[in-house]
Amino acid sequence: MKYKRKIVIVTLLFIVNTVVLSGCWNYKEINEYAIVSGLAIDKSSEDGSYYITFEVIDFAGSSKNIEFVSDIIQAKGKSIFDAARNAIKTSSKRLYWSHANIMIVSQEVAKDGVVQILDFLNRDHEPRGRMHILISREKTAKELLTYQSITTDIKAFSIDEAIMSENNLSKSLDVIAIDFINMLSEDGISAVLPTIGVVVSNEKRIIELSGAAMFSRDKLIGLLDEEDTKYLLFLKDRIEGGVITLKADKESINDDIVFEILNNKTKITPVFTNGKLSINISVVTKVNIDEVGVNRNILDETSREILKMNAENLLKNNLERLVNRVKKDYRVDIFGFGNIVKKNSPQMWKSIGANWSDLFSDLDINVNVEIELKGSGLLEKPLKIGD
Amino acid sequence: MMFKHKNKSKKDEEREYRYCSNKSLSKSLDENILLIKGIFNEDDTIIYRYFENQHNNDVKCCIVFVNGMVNAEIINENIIKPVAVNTTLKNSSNVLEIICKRVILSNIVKNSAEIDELIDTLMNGNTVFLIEGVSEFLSINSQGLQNRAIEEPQTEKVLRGPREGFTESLMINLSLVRKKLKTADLKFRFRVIGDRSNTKVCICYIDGVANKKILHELNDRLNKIDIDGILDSGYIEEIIKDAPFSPFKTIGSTERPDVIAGKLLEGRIAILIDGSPTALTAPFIFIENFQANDDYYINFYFSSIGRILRIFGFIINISTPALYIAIVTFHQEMIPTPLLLNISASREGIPFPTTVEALAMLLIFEILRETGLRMPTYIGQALSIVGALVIGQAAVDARFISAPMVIIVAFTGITSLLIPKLSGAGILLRLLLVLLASIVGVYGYLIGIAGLLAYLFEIRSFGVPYLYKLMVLNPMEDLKDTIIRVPWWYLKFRPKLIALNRLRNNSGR
Repeated sequence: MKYKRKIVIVTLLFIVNTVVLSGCWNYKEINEYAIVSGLAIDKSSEDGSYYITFEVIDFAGSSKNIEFVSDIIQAKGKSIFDAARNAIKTSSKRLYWSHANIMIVSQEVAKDGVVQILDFLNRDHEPRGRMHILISREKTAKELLTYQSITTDIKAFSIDEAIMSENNLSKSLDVIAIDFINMLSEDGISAVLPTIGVVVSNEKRIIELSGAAMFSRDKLIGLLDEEDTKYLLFLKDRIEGGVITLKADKESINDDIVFEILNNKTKITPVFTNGKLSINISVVTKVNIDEVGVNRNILDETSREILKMNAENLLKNNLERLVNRVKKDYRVDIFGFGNIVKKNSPQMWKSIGANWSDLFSDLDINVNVEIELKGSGLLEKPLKIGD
Repeated sequence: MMFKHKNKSKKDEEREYRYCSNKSLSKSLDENILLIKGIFNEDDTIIYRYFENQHNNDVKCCIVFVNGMVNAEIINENIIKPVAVNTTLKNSSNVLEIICKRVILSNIVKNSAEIDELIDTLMNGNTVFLIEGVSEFLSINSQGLQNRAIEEPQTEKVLRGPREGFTESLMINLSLVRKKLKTADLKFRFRVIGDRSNTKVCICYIDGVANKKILHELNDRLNKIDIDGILDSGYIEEIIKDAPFSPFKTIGSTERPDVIAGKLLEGRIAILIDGSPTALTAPFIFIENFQANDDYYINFYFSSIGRILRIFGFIINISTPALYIAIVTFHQEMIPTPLLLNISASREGIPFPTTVEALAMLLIFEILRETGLRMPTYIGQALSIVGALVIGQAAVDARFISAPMVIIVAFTGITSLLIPKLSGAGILLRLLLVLLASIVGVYGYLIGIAGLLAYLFEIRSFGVPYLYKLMVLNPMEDLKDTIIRVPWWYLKFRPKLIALNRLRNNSGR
């Protein structure tokens, strides 16, 4: 009897303790939250306090035909969390962060360091690690949440969609909070973030997702344009689509030959010769011919070879140019070469890891590009233009 | 066991007082008739018919029967006529035996001197034949009760398979079972339960297949029943079942002889009760809730899909409202953003908390269901209009109830009708899980499910674990007839814990 009672007590303790210790106590009706879809972080130049702009989803229309509209709430605070709590003053509902998937940071904030923001994102239980982080190309981050969207009214959602469909373009990156934090904390790799700007098209201010921002430790040090970003993606082996445009003839202006990238595999291997480190980069790209702007056969044996060689040279030159520029001008290893060295030979990394950025700035690279022409689409010959 | 044991001798005394069974028949016909009249005092349905032999008026007879329960033609033609016109009858001491053997034309004639037997004879619609000078009587079969025709049971319709169903007559029901299993090993053991209803109960099993221990246990439990009347097999089911307070069935019930035959072949034991078209089977395990009889008659792919749907339906039935409440009020981050927005928009302006909303809608659904069951069928249309339009459409339009909740409750309602055998348990479990989920979210739901599993593992039916065949030790063998139904040529074995003889083919008989 006594034994049985003991079992009952222990079982009850288990159940009661797990109820108390698990965090599931927060009964809250879903319509008591203001759902945040995205936020933009700016900094006041006077006192250094944060300005946060939240995009909150609101409902309009009748009960039968509900429309989602975006509301902008602005708050100021000494820290991110302070500003977030201050937002309640204007929103009347508590902000709910779990569905926010866009965070835009102004260059000004990024230049001063993003550790404080990231710490809050990681520490608080509501923001998700899946949140996309972007750097504003414009003066402030705020104006990117007030542009005019083409597809949906919720700006953050259309930015999110743009990031998702970016794979076919390869002119920007897709970096989520967890990736960014990993990049910052790992050895031998510097962080990059995608950048976002505004363009005016058809009298509407719309967003344009292109380019990348480079970080030295947690501070922004420079921007890359969209072409460079594409080659950066080649080096990070994250190409899943996009195009390579090749001039058909040196002198021509319009007669381009355009390749569609089907598949790419980049392999980076560190090589040690006589105690000196160099990096071998081998790129194998499968492409389809997508557009031919010249009126001559390019698919016979010799033309194909020439075409292939030209494309390989183009890619090789551009990759080399990017690496050289980054290592000279910025001295940050955004390609993660150091990380690969560390993984391949941890012993070696112990001795060279401490002064990697010096080592990186005069690193030798050998780029080896191989392009495989897979097909030419539905046409065998270029379109024949009669007289 | 839940029922109490009365003192046996006291019960006997009462019986003796009521039926004067301490008295015995005498040689005098008049005295015997007086005795019977005494027993059936103030009962005007008893007919006493005196007659004599035409050639020898010393042979004075009397037949006693209950009017309305007998077949008059049998009494006239096969009892009165042969005795009255017989030319050789003499009043001697063995006249009853002679009449029994040579005169009366009936298939069942019994000779007895017991008063109890006499009462039984009358109450079952048979005829008592008494003769002057003999202290015994003949019990002659003359039953003429009206029976319902054999029809397809309303509650267990099938797409394919036999359409016979049990009726209220025990003997017809037994004949239906016998028709399916023409073997001498099929045993029918009668017993009488109920002090006043004296209901005939038949225990039915296949000798050599049914487990003797289970049979013994069943007989033990039936022996302990002490109740005045059994009006339906539900009485017996409730009294003898394991886990008496459980909402889960631990004794099966069916109205179909083919189902009974199937269960008997698996080594189960059937209990049929006079006056009830519902027969019981024991042991009954959890997976049987999901097995339909035409699973075995139609294509095995189709029946396997059906079973999976039924099991899935049960899980949906008990879980959907609880999970909805848990996710919407505790774990909003688990909902995909577009869905969250839709739910949030539809909850805008709803006055009740989600839990209250769910409980109210579930209550309304149960009321509708119960109304559908109780009301006369010709007002069914009114109910569907009220149900669909007022509670569905109008309540959402008026912003009393959010639209997702109507969908959730409708889903729950449909699935609760999918497995009628578990609908009682479903209501209870659903309510319990909703309450748990509204206190601690998904965590509470999981506690509920874990508790349910522990409970199901704990209970047994006649010594067989309730989750038998689902707690898999040998997946290739044990799961053959559970979640899926494999083709017949793979079903070579009977359930190990239920049947005595496992092999199902020729050599195992």
